[in-house]
Amino acid sequence: MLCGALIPISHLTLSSIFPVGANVYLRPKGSKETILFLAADQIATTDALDLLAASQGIKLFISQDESETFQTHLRDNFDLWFENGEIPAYNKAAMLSEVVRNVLSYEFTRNDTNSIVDATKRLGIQVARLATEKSLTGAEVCQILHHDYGTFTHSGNVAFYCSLLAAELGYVGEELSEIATGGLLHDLGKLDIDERVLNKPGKLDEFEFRVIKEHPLSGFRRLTKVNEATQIQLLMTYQHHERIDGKGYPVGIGGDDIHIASRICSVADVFEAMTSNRPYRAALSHKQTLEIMADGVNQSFDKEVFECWSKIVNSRLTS
Amino acid sequence: MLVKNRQQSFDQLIATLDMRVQLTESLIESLGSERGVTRTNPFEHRRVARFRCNGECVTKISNSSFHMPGQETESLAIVRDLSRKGVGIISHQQWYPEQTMEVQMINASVSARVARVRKLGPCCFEVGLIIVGHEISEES
Repeated sequence: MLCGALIPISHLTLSSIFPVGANVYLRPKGSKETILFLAADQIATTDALDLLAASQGIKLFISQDESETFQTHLRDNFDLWFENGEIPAYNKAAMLSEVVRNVLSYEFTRNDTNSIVDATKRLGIQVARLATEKSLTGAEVCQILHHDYGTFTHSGNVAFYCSLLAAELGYVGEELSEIATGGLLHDLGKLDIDERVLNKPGKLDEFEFRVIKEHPLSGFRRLTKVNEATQIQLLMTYQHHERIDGKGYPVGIGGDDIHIASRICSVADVFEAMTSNRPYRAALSHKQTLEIMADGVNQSFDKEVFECWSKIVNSRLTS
Repeated sequence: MLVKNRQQSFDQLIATLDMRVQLTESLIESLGSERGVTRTNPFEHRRVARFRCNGECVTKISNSSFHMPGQETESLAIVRDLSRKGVGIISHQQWYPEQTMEVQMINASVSARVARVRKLGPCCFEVGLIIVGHEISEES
């Protein structure tokens, strides 16, 4: 018998290579009943996975009590799955997007900075690898990503965008991975903000806006206490709200004083926020977003970085 | 005599360093005119009184602190205000939150941690520091 709270999971987190380490429950469309779909040590068959992918409205869950085991299995086995050359890049990206959401959601809820940095470092390596995957187009990446608004969804998407942008600007290897991880970590400071302020549907008052503006500083402070955090990640967290014209926060530096990784993160962050659904407005189209952002070139954004992103969006995301 | 010696050694120390802070116009005005307890606002959450100062100090990054690219280990800065718990300085270089430094003033030397930094102009950063340890000269 199933007791306790259920946590929804995506079918993309299941694989035909490894078990998920937790009982997976299924709720058919329109039903209120939940039945056992996969036992913790069972591996899903390819047919079952195909069926899940084709079905609309079927929901999968795990018990909250098993969420830690599920997260551990997901992380431990993902690398193995990722190395499999027969799996298409699209499927890898889809699963990675889910893994990122799951891991970030779990880690951000636990709120342990050391553990967050450790988990995001591993994810960052995979996100960066996918960004350089030739067979994966930007259009596919955008299709795969979720566009609901939550700090972990946003951070995951920003990491994907930062990686695409950095790869296009010529970053490779470890630096690219660091930028991807920086994207995952950039809003870490939001964990210190009251959710009522963070998710307020209406306009923020002066006090609330000041509270929101503390998050780069707060995230930076958290990261300085973690030995594994790199300089790129520290600066992406601290500077992603700085503006090229020096009118940003928290310091008010401008131009080249803002680290290039932070300038990349700034473009990715704004693009992601505008193209995602918010409680108070629907997502804007890519075209609309780029038009609005173009007005901010040399004020909010670095010209070269924005033009590169615009090129990626125009030639890849809408191709 | 002790006071004179301290003054002399401080003068000798600052003579070895260049003052590279570029004061903004508004800062020049306020440095000349403001005295006494500084004004505050509800957002600053300030609990102790802060007094305006206008003197030089030497900042030295602590050995235990993390370094950021391009930062000088030792530099000359301006002490802007001082309280029982903190010190505000104007520095030509950017400091980062949680960095720790020694701030050597004429009558006291404090160990401090950077709380926040704001750029006021080129080569002009306002740095708010929390005092974590101090040593005040006996003769002061």
